[in-house]
Amino acid sequence: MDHNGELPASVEVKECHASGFDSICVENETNNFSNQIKVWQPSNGDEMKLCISMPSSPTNHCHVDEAKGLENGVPDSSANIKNINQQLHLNHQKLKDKRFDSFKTWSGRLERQLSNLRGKPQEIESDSENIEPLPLPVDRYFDALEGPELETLRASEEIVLPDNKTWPFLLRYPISAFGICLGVSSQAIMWKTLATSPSTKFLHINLIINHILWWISVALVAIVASIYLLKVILYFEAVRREYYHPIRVNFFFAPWIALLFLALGVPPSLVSKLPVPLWYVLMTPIFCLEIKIYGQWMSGGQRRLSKVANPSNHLSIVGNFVGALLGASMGLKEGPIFFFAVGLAHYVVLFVTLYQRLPTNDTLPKDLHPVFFLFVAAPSVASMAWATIQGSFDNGARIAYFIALFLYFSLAVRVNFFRGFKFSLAWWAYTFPMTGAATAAMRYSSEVTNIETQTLCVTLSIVATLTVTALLVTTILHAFVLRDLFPNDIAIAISDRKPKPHKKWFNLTDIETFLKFASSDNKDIEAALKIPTPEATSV
Amino acid sequence: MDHGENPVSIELQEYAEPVPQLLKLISSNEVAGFDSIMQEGETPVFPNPTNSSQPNGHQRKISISISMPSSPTGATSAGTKNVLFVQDNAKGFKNGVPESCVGSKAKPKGVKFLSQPMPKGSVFGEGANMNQNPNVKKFKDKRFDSFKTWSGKLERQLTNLRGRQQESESEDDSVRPSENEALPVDRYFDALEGPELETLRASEEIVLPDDKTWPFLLRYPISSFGICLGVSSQAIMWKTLATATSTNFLHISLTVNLILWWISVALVGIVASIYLTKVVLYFEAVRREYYHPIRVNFFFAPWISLLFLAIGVPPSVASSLPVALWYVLMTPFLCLELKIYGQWMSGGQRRLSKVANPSNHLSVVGNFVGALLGASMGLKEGPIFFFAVGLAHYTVLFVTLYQRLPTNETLPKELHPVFFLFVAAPSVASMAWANIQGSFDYGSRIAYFIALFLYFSLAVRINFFRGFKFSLAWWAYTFPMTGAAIATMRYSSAVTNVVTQTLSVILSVVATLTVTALLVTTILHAFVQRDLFPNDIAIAISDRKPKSHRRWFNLIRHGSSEHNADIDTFLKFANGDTKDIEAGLKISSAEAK
Repeated sequence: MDHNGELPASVEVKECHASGFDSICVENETNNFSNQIKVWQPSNGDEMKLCISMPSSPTNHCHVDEAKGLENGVPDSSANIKNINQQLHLNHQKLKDKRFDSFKTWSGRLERQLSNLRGKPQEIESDSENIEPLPLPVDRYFDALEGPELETLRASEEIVLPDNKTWPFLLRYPISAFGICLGVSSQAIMWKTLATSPSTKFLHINLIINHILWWISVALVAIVASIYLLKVILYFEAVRREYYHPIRVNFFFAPWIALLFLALGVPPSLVSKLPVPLWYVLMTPIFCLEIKIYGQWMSGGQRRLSKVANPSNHLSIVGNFVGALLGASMGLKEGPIFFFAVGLAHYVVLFVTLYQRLPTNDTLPKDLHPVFFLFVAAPSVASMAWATIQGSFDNGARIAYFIALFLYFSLAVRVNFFRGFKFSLAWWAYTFPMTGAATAAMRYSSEVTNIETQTLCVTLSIVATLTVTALLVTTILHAFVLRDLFPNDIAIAISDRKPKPHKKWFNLTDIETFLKFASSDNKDIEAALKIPTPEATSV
Repeated sequence: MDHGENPVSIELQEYAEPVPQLLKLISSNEVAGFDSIMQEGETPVFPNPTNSSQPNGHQRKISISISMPSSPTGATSAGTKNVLFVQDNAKGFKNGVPESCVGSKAKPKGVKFLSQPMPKGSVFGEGANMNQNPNVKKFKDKRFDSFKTWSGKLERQLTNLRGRQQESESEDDSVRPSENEALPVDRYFDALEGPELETLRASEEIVLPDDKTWPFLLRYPISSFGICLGVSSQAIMWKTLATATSTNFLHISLTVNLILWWISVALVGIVASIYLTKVVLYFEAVRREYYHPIRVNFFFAPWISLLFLAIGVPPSVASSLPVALWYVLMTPFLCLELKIYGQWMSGGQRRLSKVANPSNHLSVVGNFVGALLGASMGLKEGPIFFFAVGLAHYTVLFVTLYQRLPTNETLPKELHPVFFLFVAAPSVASMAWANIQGSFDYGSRIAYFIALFLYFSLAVRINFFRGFKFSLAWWAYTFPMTGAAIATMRYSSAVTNVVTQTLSVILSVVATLTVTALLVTTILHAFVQRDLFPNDIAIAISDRKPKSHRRWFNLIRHGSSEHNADIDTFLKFANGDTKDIEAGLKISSAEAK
């Protein structure tokens, strides 16, 4: 439905992304076009009046309820509009694709100004103020998306971005790209430990590998971060939608964890001792994010833990332990214990919740999925953190390590459940638990040195390395051969309304009843009604 | 319904005359329902109209509701059936015939009814309200009798002694309030709302008159012990401020502790003695508080405040406390915990996933306070026992509260001051563990840092905490702040630097300011607005559902197959695509029926 015209009349019928799909915006009214519309008016006059802004109105963007009026309306009227669209589509070619404007930080205003500077005045800019979208309620994510990472669109849903062509690269670039940094930088740590740990001395591994891997991961972090920074600057709305995505939000911890990994894996030849302020600098964003995320869990609402619990929440926990590990290895005392305590408390909560697999967990994959390997991450890092805090691999550290080991085995014996999933970039994030477990095994075997523990740590290291290599190959294949490493990121483009009118009664009952069961407050019912009422009022 | 001493026969005549047959039946039923007529001297007239009405099919009701003169134990046996009867009756009454109301209101002016201790009370209450006619003068308000321990028997005996023979006491042993069935917890969830389950839903009615102020003792809630908690924890804080090595630089005198301690001793004495009076005089009210899913946690408060008093005892008063005291103080804890934790574990309507609420922390924190006191007395095994029990149940409670299960009916949707109780248990636990262990080691630090993080996490959301109506229970939510301040002093004694010292001073100031603000608010409410003790709606809910048209919903929530229906529907809604639609249909079809 894209036809920005260079028609002499410059008519544009397009989707109003901010106010909901399918709302028609007429930018510059022309005679023949409004005539055309008037032709259709007799079929359903009111709704047409609602959804098409008339020439007399200067602010010609469509309001939400107007759009709904169209959508709820008689189907033949929308069919008519489709006819119009098709006509226009046939007739006109587009000079410039405006459909991504709603995700742009300045709504493309900057570009337009630039082109104005270049002497090409294109259109009146009056429509650029209508992009002040409210954050999507988390329910929309649950309703519109499916799949273990909430990354696939349900059949009944539509998206606000065109799904028939490839979007701009930045829009397709997800936050989970930082998973690559996690995977590679944890490999750097592992090879550093392999080279320095007394139990693996017999392997005679050189620190050069750590050196190379570390520089690769530094470069990766820099590249990934700078591209994502571009996205933050240029497409802030897309970043915001990722932040409100109940699973993606956990990946916002990944950049900081990757930085912690870099600090942990720094080659001894480069820096022997890191400056202490670095730790505080790195932990500040993690602390702020935690205050936000854990607070959401506790304070209820739609993002309470019983609803959003998912193995990827481990990413928001594991940062505490990585931070504690780094801080303790720097020689700090109180700070690491603080983060260890916070991590421990919330890890217990998360662990129990995930194990319970509550029926209210909308985001928990029904079957096993690579994301479950994140279960291994927190306890294995926690064991190393505690060992570093305590100064020796004592019973506390062993308890955490053995929990991690058991979970690892428990998942490894089910390895054939993990096949058949479509590759995604997020898988990189699921490799670092393996690497973490291998590193923890080396720490343990340094404490309890015998042939079994040494075999175990070598095996785990090989498995981790193989997995990372396999993933690297797959990624390269997808990137350069199949060229689908960054598919259209459906998750950020869901519309903020429910698609079908006939589903409305169901949605209403669903939320209302759920809230009744949940807590029976007057406020709740009102809050639930708030979502459907705009639709109801426009009917 | 207290009106005069006219002979019964007259009243019955008046019933019989103006109203048609059916209406007459309803009105008589209704009178029986909310006040179940007790005949004083049996008149021959009375049984006759009853008999004459039997052919209309109301026989069962009437025979149940009116205790016949021949059977002295009749009314007691009717006790359980009464519920059923009153339900029908109320429906007829409310949906039904307004004329009968008018009739009953107009007529029975002169009849003396004894109000019976019946908690089926929406009708009772309504009837009572209805009788606030200006022309009916009451000698004595009997509507509170159902909450009195002896149902006013004692008073009547006293008046008898004074020579005023009033009525035969034959009906008194018929329905004793203490023999009432305990209210099921569902009634509390259905009838009340608000974060502390303290507000009546619009659709509900109460058994006590809501248009006037109740007797003071009925309005006096168990949460008053929160004041003792708040003040006595302040006494501990100032003691720690004066004695801790890290806060020596403040040069705080122990006098503050001494004054606060004596104040809190006096407070505990006053509050406890008033509540003891309530226990003696209005046992039914106390029982209803005990069955209230949130109030029950406050039954730990008296014992916790005694522990606080023991911990905060000024060194000048007693240098070391006798060990036996600890065992005496911990016994009620053990009993209450066996009861409460057992309820969590053993399921039923009071299982944890249903009643979990931050105020449950009150029932956990006692363990840690007890462990702290015991360890500071030099005991060894007892403190660890209570610490272990507390730790196990704290973990369970912490996880449950964080999960915010949708089955948690009592968990406030939004943040509420009660959430500060989250801070209490870990901060006290850190001190307890430090005392047990002898040093502020890693275990203590972990507990302390958890408390600190939770404190921060709540503090940054401070603007969510505004806009709530003040209640006396808020006092109970101040002691976590004080506890966090004390734990910070302990921590800063272990790790003395300018950051920890600043933190401990800041937290102490915040705690003191909060307590002061609360004190001012309490004084304002007590003496200026005079609404410190509003009518305690929570104890006066009726034990029936009020409206018939809500029944389909209630049926789903707690019909006979309550759990199954509830959980089933819930699971269906939670699950997913097509199933949801079915569940939705199921509900709507139930509604249609």
